[in-house]
Amino acid sequence: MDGGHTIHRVFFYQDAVLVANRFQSPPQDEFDILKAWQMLARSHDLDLCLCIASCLRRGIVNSAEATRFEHRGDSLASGFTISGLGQLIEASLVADRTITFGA
Amino acid sequence: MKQLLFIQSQRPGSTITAQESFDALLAGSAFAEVSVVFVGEGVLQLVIPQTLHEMPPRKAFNAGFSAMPDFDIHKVYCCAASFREKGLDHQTIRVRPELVESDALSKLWLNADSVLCF
Repeated sequence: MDGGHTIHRVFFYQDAVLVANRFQSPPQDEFDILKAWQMLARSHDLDLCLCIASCLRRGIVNSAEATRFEHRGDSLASGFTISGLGQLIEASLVADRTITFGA
Repeated sequence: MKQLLFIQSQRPGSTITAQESFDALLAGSAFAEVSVVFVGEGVLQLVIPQTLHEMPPRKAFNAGFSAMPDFDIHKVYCCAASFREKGLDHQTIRVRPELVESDALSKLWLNADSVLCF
């Protein structure tokens, strides 16, 4: 982004959705990846989008999904939205570059 | 139409990642022209499971591979080196991917508009 690029979307898939678990409390001397994403998103107005199927498998729910599955309360951290795989494909089609991490 | 190349490198079995990677491929096929290449341990996804005694138990999601033509997924490739390394043969695998050597593999990369690695 410092080089003048814009980021259309950040899509979290598979285990990456666990980044958005608002109940994580890492020890103070360890890197807080959730807070880091939230700060980056806030300062650059990023769209942080999660795959709903990956989320439901791993217990990441917003209030709507919590109600649907009769869970007590949500687990999704603020700054993230839950959507579908179509968002990953749309972003890949719109952007001139797609960068994948973790595989 | 844009060309998306899906790289499947996750081995099937104890985790759900290989199955989720296939879901991504199917989603891609709804919006774009897709091709898929199995590389590394990902070639093991092609194997027809002899037993399903995995723990935790997983769906034999690769049964869905035979439906790829119905999703307009016709360009199915497999890294020839990985195929040989894992000792696979066409009798024990689910679909018949085109085996590609490394120079042809790099061409696939170059011809795609976007590459999605799993």
